Amino acid sequence: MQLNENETVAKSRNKILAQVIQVFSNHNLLPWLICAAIFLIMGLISPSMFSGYSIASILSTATPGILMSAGEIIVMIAGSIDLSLAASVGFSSVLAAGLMEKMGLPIPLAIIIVLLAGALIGLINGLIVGKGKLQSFIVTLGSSVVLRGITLVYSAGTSIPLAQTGQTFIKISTYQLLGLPLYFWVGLVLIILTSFYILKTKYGRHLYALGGSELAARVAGLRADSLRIKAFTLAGFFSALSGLTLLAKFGSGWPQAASGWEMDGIAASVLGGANFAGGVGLPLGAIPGSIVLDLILRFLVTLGIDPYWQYAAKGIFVIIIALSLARGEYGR
Amino acid sequence: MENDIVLETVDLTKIFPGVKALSKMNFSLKAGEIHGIVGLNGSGKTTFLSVIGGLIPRSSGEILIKGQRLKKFNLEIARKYGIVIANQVPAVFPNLKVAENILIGREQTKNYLGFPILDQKGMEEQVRDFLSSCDFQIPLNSKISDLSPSILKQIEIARAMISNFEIIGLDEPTSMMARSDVYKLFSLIKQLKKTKKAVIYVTHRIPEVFELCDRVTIMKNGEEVGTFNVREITPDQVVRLMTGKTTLNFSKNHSSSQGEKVLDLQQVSTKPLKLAETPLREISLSAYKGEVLGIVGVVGAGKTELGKAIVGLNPISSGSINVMGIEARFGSTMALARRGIVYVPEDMMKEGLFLNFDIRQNISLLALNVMFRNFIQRKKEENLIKQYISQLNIRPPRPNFPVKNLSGGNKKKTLVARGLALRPNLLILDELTTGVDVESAFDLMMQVRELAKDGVSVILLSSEFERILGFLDRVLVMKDGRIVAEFSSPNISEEEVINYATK
Repeated sequence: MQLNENETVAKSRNKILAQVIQVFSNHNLLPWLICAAIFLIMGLISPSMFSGYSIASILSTATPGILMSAGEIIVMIAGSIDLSLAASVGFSSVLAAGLMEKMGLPIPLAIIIVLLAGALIGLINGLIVGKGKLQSFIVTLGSSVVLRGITLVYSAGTSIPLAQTGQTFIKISTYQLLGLPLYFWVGLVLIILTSFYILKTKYGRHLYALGGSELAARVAGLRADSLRIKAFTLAGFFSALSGLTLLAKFGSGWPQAASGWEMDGIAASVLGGANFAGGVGLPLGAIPGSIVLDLILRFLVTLGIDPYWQYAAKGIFVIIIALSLARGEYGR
Repeated sequence: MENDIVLETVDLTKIFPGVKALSKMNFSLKAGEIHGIVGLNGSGKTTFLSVIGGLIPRSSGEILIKGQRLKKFNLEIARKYGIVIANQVPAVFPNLKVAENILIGREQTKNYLGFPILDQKGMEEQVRDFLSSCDFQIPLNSKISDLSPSILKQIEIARAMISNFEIIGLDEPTSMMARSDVYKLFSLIKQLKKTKKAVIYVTHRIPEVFELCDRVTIMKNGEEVGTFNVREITPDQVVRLMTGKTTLNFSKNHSSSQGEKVLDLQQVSTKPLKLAETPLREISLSAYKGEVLGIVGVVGAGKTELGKAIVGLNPISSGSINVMGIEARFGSTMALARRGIVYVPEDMMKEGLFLNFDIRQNISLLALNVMFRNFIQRKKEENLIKQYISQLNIRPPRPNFPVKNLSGGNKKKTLVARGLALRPNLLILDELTTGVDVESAFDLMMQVRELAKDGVSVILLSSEFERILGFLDRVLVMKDGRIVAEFSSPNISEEEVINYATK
């Protein structure tokens, strides 16, 4: 009976719609629903939320976080965790500012170097975790401290404001397209492409397999280490991209940028459908995941809650949403 | 006799999302009775045990203990009334010691300065006393990871039996268990009968029912088909009620002509990677196109190690392995799979299936590498696996059904389908029939014969001699990492094979 139903459904609707449904299937749909629900509730409380300006502001504010979480989700699909992404975001924004301002490199070259550096950081993390057979938590905790140190050394502890070449960079990357900055659109396109890649290729399938059961993946002959290394490299790339958007937003490479984002990134990833056990999630989930985090903060501000209490309240919200996402399996 | 009934269920029903796993089950258990429950995989045996053990809540129906109707029922209440369950798959904690594993949740404490602290010595003593009373030989000081599946199974059973129980449910207690340990278990169960304990014995091995049980309840599709006094029914009748089929024909229908050589091992030896592994000692063997070769031996004889060495999952220390003209090296597993050389592991849950995946993703995992360069074409994938779902009769036949919710036999079929989808040239199946019911095992063995007919070389690694011998063209007997005997069809005798394997 069930099979027949599925078949008729598949036949009656058009293919693209069926594929979209597949993308949002099961767990990957829930984060979007929760995001929409929270947005609606908040909009009903303060209707200004629905204005185009407000929506654009939410999306552009959330972009750096979205990009970093997209990277985190890729690593979490593989069953690992990357705590160094936030440090990598900070490093990338300072490196980009330095390359443009101190060294006067042309913008495209600076961007390429920053993206490659981010990917390289990810590659090194992946190599240490994969080849050293170590736990990603502790390896990336270490490398995040190393990165923060290097960032301080490179910037001599002060921020690097964008004055000359950098101004052009800001102008280009914040160029408004349909009311949103260019960096948002670039990020969106890359996340969609990556999600499509992970959903539709052998690499993606193998990554989910690795996260589901590393032992079974190895027995099936999958190259667990190289799969994982590639995931970390992709995550490094996305955090470099996040660093660049952060730089474009603030106009200055600040060594402490994105500090404390480690936990936000993981929270957004879990709210976006990934989990610590691995094997589930989609980079696209970073969008609702990060926006929900951002909305919660905005909501607390509109309610006029004491800023000190906002931290605690945010945490409580995150736990409540995580509970609603839980699928009856045991936590750890 | 009537007031001897210790446990009774009336219309007990359990519904999982989308599946009625247990439907209006009526069951009664008397003190001092060994009550068998038989049925195919997926017939609801384990679900029934889990409900009366309080592990999962019932959907509807009644549970009566000693005539008393229980409104609320859960694990604590089941424990209070002395109901314990030993699971089919041992739930062991690899990080804890053997004694701690057995007494988990029932730890003894002693007072130290007014604080209750764990009484390690007392616990170890209690476990030692218990083990000597039941003749289980479990090395108390070993690490869990070094123990054989047979021992782990005994730990699971010991954990249930060490408590003060009235009713014990044993779920497939003899699966994974070595033959010698099975006899110990049987005498232990017969002892329980004398002390007026009630035993629910869940199995799909019908001969065991006739050896042990007083009554037997037959289940099919979540329903009770009937309950019989064992003296009033024959094994044939039980099979018929279980499967709805008249007879299972286990006859052979193969040709014995020898094809070209597919696999050639010369003097292969290994060093064990882990303590629990058996090192291989100078193994030489060949396998031929279109042949079903059995490599049999007791648990721990080194069959799995041999299978893994052939496909490059375990390194060898000397000798050579030649598969279809190329040298199999450690780490070349995927390269070999591309050439159609596949190993299907024994441990479905740990080494085989991806529980985050559905049936489709589990089956297509290896075939994807051959079919597609990079992007997966959904339609092609779907068509491929539909073919294997129907060929192997996987239930439910829905590609997007999550594998973790499948019954044991269907899990096995899904795993085997992964190998078949690759269109293998050499298929190595590790313990194909373990944990699989009579009907599924027969389905699988017939598939194996079909494969051989199509020119595939099939190697079956197995410790369940009686279930596969009839299907083999040739059998090699393994013991302690060596090959100790070889027989060719039709000169394969079960007695001789067992003799070589165990002595």
